[in-house]
Amino acid sequence: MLKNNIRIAIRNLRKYKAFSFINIIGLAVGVACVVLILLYVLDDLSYENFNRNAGRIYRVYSSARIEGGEMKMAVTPPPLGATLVREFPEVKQYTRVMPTANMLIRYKNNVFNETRFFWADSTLFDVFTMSFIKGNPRTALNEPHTVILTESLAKKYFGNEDPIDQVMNFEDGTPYTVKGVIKDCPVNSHFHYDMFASMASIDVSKANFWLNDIFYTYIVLKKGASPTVLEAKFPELIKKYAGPQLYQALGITMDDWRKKGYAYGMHLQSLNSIHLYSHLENEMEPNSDIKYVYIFSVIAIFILLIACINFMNLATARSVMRSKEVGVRKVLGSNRAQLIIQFLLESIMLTFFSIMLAIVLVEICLPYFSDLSGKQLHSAYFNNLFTIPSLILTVLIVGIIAGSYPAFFLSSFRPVKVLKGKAIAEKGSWFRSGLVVFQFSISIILFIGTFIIDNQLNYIQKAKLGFNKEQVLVVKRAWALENHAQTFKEALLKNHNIINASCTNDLPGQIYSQTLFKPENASSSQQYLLATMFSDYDFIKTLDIKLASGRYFSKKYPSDSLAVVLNQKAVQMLDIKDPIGKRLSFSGSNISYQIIGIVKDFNFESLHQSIRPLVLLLNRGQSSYMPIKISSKNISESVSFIKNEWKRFVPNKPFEYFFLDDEFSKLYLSEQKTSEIFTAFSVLAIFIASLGLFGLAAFTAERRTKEIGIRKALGASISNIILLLSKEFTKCVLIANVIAWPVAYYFMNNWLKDFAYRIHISLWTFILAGCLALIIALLTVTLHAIKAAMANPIKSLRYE
Amino acid sequence: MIKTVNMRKIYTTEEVETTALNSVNIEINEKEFVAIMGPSGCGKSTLLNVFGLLDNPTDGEFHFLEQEVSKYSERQRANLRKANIGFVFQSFNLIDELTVYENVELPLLYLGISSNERNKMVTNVLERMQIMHRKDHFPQQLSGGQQQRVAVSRAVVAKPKLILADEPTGNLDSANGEEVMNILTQLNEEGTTIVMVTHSPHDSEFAHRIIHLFDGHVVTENYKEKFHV
Repeated sequence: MLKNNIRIAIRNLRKYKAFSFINIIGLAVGVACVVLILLYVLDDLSYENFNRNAGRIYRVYSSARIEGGEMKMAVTPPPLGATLVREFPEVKQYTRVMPTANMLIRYKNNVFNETRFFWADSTLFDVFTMSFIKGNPRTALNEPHTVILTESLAKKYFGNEDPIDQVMNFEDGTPYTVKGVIKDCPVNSHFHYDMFASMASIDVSKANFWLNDIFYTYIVLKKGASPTVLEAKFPELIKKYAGPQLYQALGITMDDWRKKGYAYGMHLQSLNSIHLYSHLENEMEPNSDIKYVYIFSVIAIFILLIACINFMNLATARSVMRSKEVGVRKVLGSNRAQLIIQFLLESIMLTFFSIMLAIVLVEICLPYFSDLSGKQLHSAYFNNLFTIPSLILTVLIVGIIAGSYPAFFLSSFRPVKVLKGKAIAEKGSWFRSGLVVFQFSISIILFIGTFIIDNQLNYIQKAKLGFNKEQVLVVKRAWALENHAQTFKEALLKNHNIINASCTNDLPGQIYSQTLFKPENASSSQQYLLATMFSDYDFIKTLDIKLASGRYFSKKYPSDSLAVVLNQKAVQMLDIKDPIGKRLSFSGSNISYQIIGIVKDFNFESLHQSIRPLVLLLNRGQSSYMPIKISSKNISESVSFIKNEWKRFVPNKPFEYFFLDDEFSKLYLSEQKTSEIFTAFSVLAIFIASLGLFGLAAFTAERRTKEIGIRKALGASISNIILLLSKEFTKCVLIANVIAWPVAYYFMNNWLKDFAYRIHISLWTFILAGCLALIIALLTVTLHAIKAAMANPIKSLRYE
Repeated sequence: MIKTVNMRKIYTTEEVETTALNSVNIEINEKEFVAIMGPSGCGKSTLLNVFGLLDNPTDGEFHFLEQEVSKYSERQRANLRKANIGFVFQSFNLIDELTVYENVELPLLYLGISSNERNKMVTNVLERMQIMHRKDHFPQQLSGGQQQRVAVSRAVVAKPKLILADEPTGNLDSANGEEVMNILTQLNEEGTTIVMVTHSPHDSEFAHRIIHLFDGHVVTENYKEKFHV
């Protein structure tokens, strides 16, 4: 019996080639999408799993609520870690890390700029799992001026030499001894390192500041210890240690300060949750978001559903052709269960072929998808014990889902009727239409989503930010110029393609430090949190930031080192009338700064945020960046000119630069990625849906052959017939629009809420998506309609 | 073998109620060859469907093999049917995707007969029907007469007690029609009960008894001298 069933299944697959093709391709593309998305999601969920103690590792983060808002920071005060271990027995170990973005390191004649450089406590390896290739984890970072390197970095500096006890020189000339080599940083880590230097080398690690958040602090809890219980003890701890320092700074006790509604606290987040859930200030790297895991999972399920629906629809539509077989089998004694099993078997077989094809598709697409998603994904089917069983399970589940409706539908035919050649009652055709509506609803939702994400990203890229980020080349590590920064600038400006240049520590799009300020005459507890930006005299000229009133820093006024410039938001928050000439001071400091000017608000952060209050201060020391405004003509010449000048000034320091607009668009990298993935999958979804529609239209045309013949015999024109056949599907797509629009509006409106600056969702987007779906559907259907309409009516009538 | 008592069959659609069979009292004995005749729409096919356990009567009694089966479920009817009844249709109703051999084998599969036994039975019947040389062909590759011989093979392969034939010669030319009728007669002589619906007076001549139906009623029953109850 099974053999007979398989045989007839294969013959059916072969006989109805178009049908089989549509189903196998559709399901294969659907399954391939699901596998790709699954790989993506699994990758996101596997972050930090390489840490043996991952379940017990927590990062401590701090929060503060003061005038000007609330903020949560990934960084904590220097003494926190050690204090936690000392005070709470459930805290087994702590470690602190601090990144330094650009570290110039010299070994013999080689100089490299290390961007993944961290200072770390010697306890690093008690918390994180890092395998040592050389050296001893117990002692590697114990002494000041010691470093450990990853395997690749060691190779970069030392080639085949033994790195242990080699000496490298940091930028300030201090020698550091290599004490260990560890395996390269795993990809799925929330921070990526090449090199750690001992924390004992820097003084700030020993500082007893409780009000400055500097280090990333990680702790390991003892087995069975509860993080919530521990967290509940933190307010007391803060009071005990930070309280006296707060009193010293502000002249107010912690209790009184808290009573005013202010807060300063520490909290725990589990290491595993950081990658998908943590969006604090000062994150070491931008994290992903669980939201995207959900969105992509839902898309995957929908695409698979669309493919399954194709199968259901085509199989039931085709039922007319199978009805005789069902009748004969029933007459010969088959019961319904046997027929259901037979049809399920066919659908499982078809699914099996699809999944084989899907695996091939995944292999082909994986490199592109990795590119698209910015991840390094591997299918590695056979490294996993569960692969084969789960594939078999998938075949069964998808096969049964897709096959169940046709199986029950077909097996319910009454032999008397079907053998008499009576047309199958049109029962179930509303169900089929419903499924088509469902497919197109999803496709339209995805279309609308794609359009809106695209529009929003466009809007962000082109939005007026209040400064000009175009043609601004930024030289990194400008401090390498030391005292020659000014002369370097002057040398550059001699070239007529160089329009302006400035030395600055802060740039739009970079992370800002925020500082508490106190306006003149305000009470000591009235503190305001303001973002700070340190730059030189030419900063606003170079970035084309507009003054609202007053003036900017100028060499003409030597007293400007004690002056500040505010943005309009800051004036609003501080609530100062006629701000020019008024004074501000850093919290806890007696030195006051005079307000000399107000700049118009500009977006110095991503457009996710609204513009925050900002203080601009004059930078007197060395600076991190040198933004250089260049002419839009001869850009490559300008770049090489600047490079050559740099070589002339500091011949043995590497020249590194970026363009400000490029850097700025990186703020939207996750949206950019989402947009691309979204586009790809919505195109696939509509492709699979159209494929199904194509098949369905073919069967409808065939089913109505006689009707078409009669109509033509009675004088219907070709266009009449095409209209007749397209009407049904047009109706489906229109209903799909009605369903899709509100759903898409709801979700996209929510998505846009993440942006402080966003587009209005326009009706046109919906109309465009709807029309596009309609056009695709009509094109698909019309092909068959034309064929059916052109056919000679005598032919179609003779067959009946 | 078959006995109906005041059997009625009423089809109801949304608007119309059609009485297909009205107070039908028929008795058919084993080894009989009965022809059912009547104009289109008189209820011949409905009667055959009820006899074939493809349809239940609306009311009245229907005894098949000494069992009152009018209230049987679909599954019960299927079990009774597959073991005892063979069908021959006007339009052959062969499954296009199966070969001649597989089509004939199908009822044996549903009876759960072993593969060896099946092979023997199928080969036997195909040889007898002189269609063995076509066993690996598909139905579409055969002539109408050949197709009907396959259909008859399929109807008799499981050695049913009753063969129901619905205008078995309707789609055949006279030579092929004659051949099919001869096969049926031969089967009847070997002991199989045959009930045949036909329009053709010529075909009805092969039967022992002709039942005339009109508007769902049995109007006459003509016995022939060949067979006596």
